Amino acid sequence: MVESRMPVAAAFVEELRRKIAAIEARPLVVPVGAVPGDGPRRAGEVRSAVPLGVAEIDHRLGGGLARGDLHEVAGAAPRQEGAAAGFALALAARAMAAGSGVLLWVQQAMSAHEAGAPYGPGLALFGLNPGRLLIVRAGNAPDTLWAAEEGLSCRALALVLAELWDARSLSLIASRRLRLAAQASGVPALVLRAPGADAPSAAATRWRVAAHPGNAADLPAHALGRPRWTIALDKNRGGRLGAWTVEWKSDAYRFLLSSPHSGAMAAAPFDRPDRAGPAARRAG
Amino acid sequence: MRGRRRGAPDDAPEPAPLVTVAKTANALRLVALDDRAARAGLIPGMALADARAMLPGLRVADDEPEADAALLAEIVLWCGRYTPLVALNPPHGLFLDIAGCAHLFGGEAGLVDDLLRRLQRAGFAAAAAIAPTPGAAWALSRHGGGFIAEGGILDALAPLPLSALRLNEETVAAAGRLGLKRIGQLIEAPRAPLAARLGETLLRRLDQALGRMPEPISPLIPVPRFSAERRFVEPLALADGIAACLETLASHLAAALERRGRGARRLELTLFGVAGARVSITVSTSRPLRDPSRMAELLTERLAALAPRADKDTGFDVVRLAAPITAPLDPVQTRIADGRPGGHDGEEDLARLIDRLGARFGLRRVVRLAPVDSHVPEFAVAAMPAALELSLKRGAWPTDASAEDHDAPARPVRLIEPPEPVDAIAEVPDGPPVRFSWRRMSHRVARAEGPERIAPEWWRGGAPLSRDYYRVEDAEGRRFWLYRAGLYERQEAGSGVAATGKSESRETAQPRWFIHGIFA
Repeated sequence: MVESRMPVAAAFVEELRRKIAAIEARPLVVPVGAVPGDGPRRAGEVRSAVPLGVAEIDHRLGGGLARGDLHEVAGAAPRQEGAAAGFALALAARAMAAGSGVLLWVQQAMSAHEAGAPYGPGLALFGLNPGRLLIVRAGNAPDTLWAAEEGLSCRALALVLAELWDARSLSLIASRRLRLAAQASGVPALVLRAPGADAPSAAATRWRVAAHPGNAADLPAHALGRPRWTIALDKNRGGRLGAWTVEWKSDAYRFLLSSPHSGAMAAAPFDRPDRAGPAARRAG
Repeated sequence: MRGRRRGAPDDAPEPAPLVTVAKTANALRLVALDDRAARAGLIPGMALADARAMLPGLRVADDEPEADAALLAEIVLWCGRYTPLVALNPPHGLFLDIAGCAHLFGGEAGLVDDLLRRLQRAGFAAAAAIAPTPGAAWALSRHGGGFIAEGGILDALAPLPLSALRLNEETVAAAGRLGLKRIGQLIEAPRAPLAARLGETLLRRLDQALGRMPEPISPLIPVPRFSAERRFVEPLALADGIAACLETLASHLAAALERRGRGARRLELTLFGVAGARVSITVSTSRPLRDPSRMAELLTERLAALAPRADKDTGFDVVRLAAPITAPLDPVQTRIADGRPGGHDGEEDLARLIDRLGARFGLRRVVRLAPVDSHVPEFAVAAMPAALELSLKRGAWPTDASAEDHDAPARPVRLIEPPEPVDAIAEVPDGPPVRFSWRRMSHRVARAEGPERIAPEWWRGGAPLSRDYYRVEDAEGRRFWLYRAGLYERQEAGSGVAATGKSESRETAQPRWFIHGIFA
């Protein structure tokens, strides 16, 4: 009796999973048999992604930062806007390097007042061609989100970067809207926001970025060296978390893993809509 | 048509007569009067003291020609509901060219009725006449109003006094001394002696009135070549209703544009309210546009902001869509089905996005960055409206070709403009800061690179002081771009190169520190 029901139940659960995955419009993640330290295995075709170029990180993301999805980047502490923007722009530069699209940067006016406006010469030196940048200055958060959503419907864009001043502006509903728009067009969406309370959001990943003090060992003590950040993958839908220190090599549009060890994050995500399987959570 | 502000609302019991006065020839004289004042026997030009003697209860207001002119210009815009061709005829007249428009109002009589009724409701006393020439209409409107049919000008004008010909008082008086009182007498009189005695103007005015000489009117608002409009018997109360008819209007406009091989660079939607309100929305586009659904889309965006106003008013009954600015656009096959663009996909898509963003935020706030050849950081980049398809190169983006591979970028990704003052402490006067505080937050500098000296571009009249820029990293790894304004050593004892009087006067004794950017 029991034996005969088990396969039916398994098939039923499998069917439900498939349905849920279809509803959520994401590839089916099959936790069964996932080896700790191994990336989640996906059924069906591999999603198009922007690889970070660091095998370890890409592996954990399942190939890279998914296109057609929403990602969140926040400073890890106050006045880390520069580092957070740097990481977001580095991702944008990688997304742009892959094609010919334009980067749409929607900036809430308050962000420009508080933390500076995009500066062309600096962006050029950072590896991001300012000629392929479209900047919109929006007065408030709803306008910023509106413009971002509008941009996500345009397939000619390489990436949409929405910069919100207030962390609370990205509500669950707002983030869902962005995510749906991104899914429809396949354009990756990046929300850059101030550090603060994490409201639940529909983002696929959330990154916390802080500048990494000190420079590379082979440099003179006073030299600044390449931009270095500690990037903490704080949320990862269908994958494990982690934290790394990376350097940005702007002329090659690539990240270099700066610290050999990858400190995997132990912090339990409380707001993730879909918790990773137990095997994945026990990462260490 | 001529109009005059009416003195008082109708419901007042029997208000005192109202006049406006202005100082002429050292005395306050009447300029304009209302009906009651005119009935009491007052006339324009009369001294105020005389008028007061006749009517002690007279109400007096100052004549304000500018305000009158502004009001008249507003009425011109309002008259746009009848015809786009409306010309000012100062001080208080308007010409409307209604050729081809009258049938929309049930004929010419219907148009005049409608016009006068609406003006009266708005508190204006107005008179109007319709005639084949502006001169004849002017004459008739000031002598009872009415209607002159094609070919009836001679008969209609003959009994009118000479003043109906838009002549100055001297000419009328001079003609009067010759016994010429009525227009009919002029028509019969021999022309050459008339011209010799009374001047060319008299005959020109006569010929203009009779249609022997053309007299074009110059509309106050240039008439767009491309426009489409709809009139509604029942006024549209909601923005939704207007949005619904937009697409129809847009397709009419698009058809007209296509015939001429042009596309709209600017669209203007004008709504005429039943109660006299007039709302206008203007949208600029980044490239010539002829797609009706895109036109409607752009305007709908702006229309949404209008919704509360539309509710407050009683509604709009005339909707006009015009393309005041157009540019050549070759005929192209419009998309067959869904939103996927066909041929030159990306650019078209991007232009569409810029238009939509521009419609909401204004095209000036959707920008691209262009390099400018300047050493002063804030001048090295210009934000150009993305809608302008200018590819003018006024410089090149910097490259770090000379820099070592592992160097930090020399310029920040975010610029704080204008630079903000910071409190900084430097160990040596011309060295990098060791500590600074910006916006009540203190930073200890762990590493600094610099200085990079940037001299002022005096020919721009910008920054008056030299700047020494430092790239600094604080103890937590955050990187900032600081500079010291003013060269410290120039104030040291007058030795060496720096001691020239000129530079000393330019630089400062107490250098101040500023933050100008944030590095990634």
